[in-house]
Amino acid sequence: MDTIVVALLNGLIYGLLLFMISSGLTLIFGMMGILNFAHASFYMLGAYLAFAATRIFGFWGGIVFGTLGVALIGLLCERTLLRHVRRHGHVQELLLTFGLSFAFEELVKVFFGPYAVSYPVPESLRFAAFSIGAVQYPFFRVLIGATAIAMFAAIFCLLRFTRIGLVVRAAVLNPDMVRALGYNVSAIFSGMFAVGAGLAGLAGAMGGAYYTTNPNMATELGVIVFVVVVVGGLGSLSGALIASLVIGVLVNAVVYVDTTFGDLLAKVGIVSAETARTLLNVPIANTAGVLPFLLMLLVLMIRPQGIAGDERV
Amino acid sequence: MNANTLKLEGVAKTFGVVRVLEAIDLDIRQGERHALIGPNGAGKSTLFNLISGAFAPTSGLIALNGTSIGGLVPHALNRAGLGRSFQITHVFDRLTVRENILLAVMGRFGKRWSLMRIGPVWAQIAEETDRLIAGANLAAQAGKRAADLAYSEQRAVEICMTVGTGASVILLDEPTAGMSREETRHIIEFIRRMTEGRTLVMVEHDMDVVFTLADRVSVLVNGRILVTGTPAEIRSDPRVREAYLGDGEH
Amino acid sequence: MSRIVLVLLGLVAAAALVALPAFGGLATLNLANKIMIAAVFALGFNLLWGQAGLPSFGHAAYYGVGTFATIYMMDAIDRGGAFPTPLLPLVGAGAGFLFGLVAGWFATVRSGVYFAMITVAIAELVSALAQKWEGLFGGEAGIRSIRTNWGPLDFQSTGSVYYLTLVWTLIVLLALYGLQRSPFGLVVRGIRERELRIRFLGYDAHRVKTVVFALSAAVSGLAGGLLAISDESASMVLFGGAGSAFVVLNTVIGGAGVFLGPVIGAALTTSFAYFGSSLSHFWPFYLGVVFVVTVLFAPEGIGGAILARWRRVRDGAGPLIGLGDLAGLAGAVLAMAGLVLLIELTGTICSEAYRAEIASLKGVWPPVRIFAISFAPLTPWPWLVGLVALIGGSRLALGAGRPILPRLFAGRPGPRADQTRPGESA
Repeated sequence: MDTIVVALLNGLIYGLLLFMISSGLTLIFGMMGILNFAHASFYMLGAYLAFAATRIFGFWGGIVFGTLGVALIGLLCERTLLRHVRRHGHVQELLLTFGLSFAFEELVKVFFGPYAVSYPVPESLRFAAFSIGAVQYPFFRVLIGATAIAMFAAIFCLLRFTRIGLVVRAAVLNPDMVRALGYNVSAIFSGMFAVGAGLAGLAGAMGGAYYTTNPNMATELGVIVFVVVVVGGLGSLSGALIASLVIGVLVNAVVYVDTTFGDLLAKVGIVSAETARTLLNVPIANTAGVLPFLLMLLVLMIRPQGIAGDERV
Repeated sequence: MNANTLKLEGVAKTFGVVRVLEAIDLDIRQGERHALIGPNGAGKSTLFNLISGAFAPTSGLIALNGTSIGGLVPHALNRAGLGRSFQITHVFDRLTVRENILLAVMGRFGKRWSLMRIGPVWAQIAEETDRLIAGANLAAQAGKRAADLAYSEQRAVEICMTVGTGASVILLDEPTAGMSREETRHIIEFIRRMTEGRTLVMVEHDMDVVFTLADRVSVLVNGRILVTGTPAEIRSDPRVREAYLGDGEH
Repeated sequence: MSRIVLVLLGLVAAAALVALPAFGGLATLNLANKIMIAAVFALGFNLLWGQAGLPSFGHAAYYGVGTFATIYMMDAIDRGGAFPTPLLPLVGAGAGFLFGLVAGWFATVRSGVYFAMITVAIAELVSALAQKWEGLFGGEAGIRSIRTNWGPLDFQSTGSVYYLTLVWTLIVLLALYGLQRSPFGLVVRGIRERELRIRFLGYDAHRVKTVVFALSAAVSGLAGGLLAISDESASMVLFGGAGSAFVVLNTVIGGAGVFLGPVIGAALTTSFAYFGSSLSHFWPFYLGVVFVVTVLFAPEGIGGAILARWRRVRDGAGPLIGLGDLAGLAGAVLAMAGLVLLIELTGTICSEAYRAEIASLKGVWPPVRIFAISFAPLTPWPWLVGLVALIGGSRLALGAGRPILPRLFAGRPGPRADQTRPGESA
């Protein structure tokens, strides 16, 4: 029972971390029609910048540096590179961000080498927030979840209750009209791109410390984030939230299932016990990495537009 | 022979809570040229999109030659005998004019998966393609990329494609939108010639076009058909005048 | 006239390819094999990307499936199976086709960026499966098999593998060229241009796209089969993101809009990787930079630039190479040299080996050797030279407000400008 609660909590917090990244991706897509392949690279850059700055500014300083640094990198990418290919259409933008994600990964290797770096949660933050039965639940994990929730609340309030938010929402729906009303839409877009990048950077600065910081982290997480936005429906914040949480919980819960595929199929009588021990000796817990993709295929079959996607496919 | 090629019975469409169309009944006769007009926001585009399969109707029946076509996917609609043009030109930009029209004709002759151009049917396809190109006065442009044509020529290519699929019912969405007087006169003549013997349904803003080309006109106001009749009847109908004058148009 | 030149060029190229084993060393043959395999893979990818306009970022899945299927068949032959060795690539193609049919059905439910994301996810699904399922994919070590001779044909030497690969490469080239020019190829290009129109002309676009996807996967699988024959092994590394990335790089750098573009790209990047990897750890970064620069300034790729240049010369609109072009090229080379200097310096002083050296020298920073030249990393000079070369070279290449590089590559206007139309992403 306790382990189930822990697994659910872990899943929830991993889901919230996913949401920190997928929300930026989906916001940028909704506004500019750009699918940013390099978005997960911002997550990676956040972790590495924070890691590098920790030595100088301390842990919290590193997190602030990582967030702001990545926001700045995002701003530069938008203003100097993406803007340049916009006239060639969305596919060219896609290729550009793809090239950037490739280049960022290699650039990180130039500075920090091809292996994981040691970017740990500082000793002072390693204490239990509470305990569930015999399990001490780490405070930092709770902090990641709380940060994600606070961030979501901030964005929601910004978009819903402020004048800037109103202009941004209008710019998403009809950029030409907003431009005609005298607002600087291009500046709004750049700003939102920087905010989205900064969010991914923050997620990386915190997630990198808790999980691992290595050059593959962008690719590994990027794929899951793509699954999240396909399942949730690209352009929809609420869809991204639901999909993030579902996938986070799913991936973390299945780890605790203690049987193999072979056993399962052998019990039903589809395969022999011999095959079960050799060819199909794959623990179901191992499917954690595969489940999000199966979920995506399922969603594509029954609801191609995603959970909260537009009806017009 | 069923006199009503295209038949709409009690067709309604709601988006969320907004009722855009309510209980549309419309009979379109074989071989006639039928225009849908009405003030802005009357639901013309929605009706057009329902007939052409972009959305499924919320309720009601749309039948083509006696079989229901409500909610069919585009390619199935086309094979059922319905062709459409688009308000914003939908030609294949980087293909030549000839290739554009060839694609329409090939499909009609069932050559959708062909790897070779061998056999007598390809001679027929080539002949039909040439006939359409000549009909549109595009022979000199046949080797040019569609993107390099003038706007009115692109519209002509588009109409050639719609006709080239062999559809018996042709839907035209504002065929003269964005054209000069001269071009409009030319394209009306062209449409009349190309759709000879077929049923034509069009949405059009330009009243001159409607009254020169259409055999019958349906006026759509607030999601309902106000009246259907010949151009002369429509012109003299007081309700139509009121609908348009009340709306401040024409 | 131009046709005769082309035929002559083709004959010379064919003669050179046939004669290569006679005077090329083992290393040359291996490189040629790698290039041809990469070219077949890129051609398969470009059927989907250049012809159907569908950007797949997960094509390694079909390549890898082809490799594994072929290895299993080689094993079966080794144990007495009757399958002819020269036809082995067809096993890879078949496996790629079947898998592509299923994956393609899912991926082509959506188009545009959704399609791109789904292909990535499917590739990752296969990669994750391969990592977990040791029984089938052999885990870290992978699986091995051996080439078996068939009748009088001996397949033990690198030369024989070279000829087998060459024959299959030519077959794929001819088949794809035929497909592109066929009526079906026209339908595929119609989908790239305007899918909605194709559907209203009575074509079942989803079905066409699924078949094109499967064909593309089949050619990729065939390339994987050629790899299996050449390497006699397969491992789950094949399914990693790098494979999917390189085929995109090859195709875009070479030019997706030109039939032989992917071949050009494959030849260049494979050679670059082959020689570059022995010179520097950071060669993938340079490749990434070249890719980004291509996307920014030469969207039609090198093949597109060659074609545009050839047309210009044929029409008498300009010389083959002008003075401005030379200046632009010189600028590009200078900028690249500056970038290489800066990156190598940074990479070296950030490396653990260098840190260890500093420690062993008690805090003295040893000189950094790049291409046999020593640089003192603590003086500003090497950094300054690198920066000046990078900035000056870029300015020369791009021209101050008057870009030379884009003009160098300018052929047609923006190739996919038409894809900005609304609803493209839907």
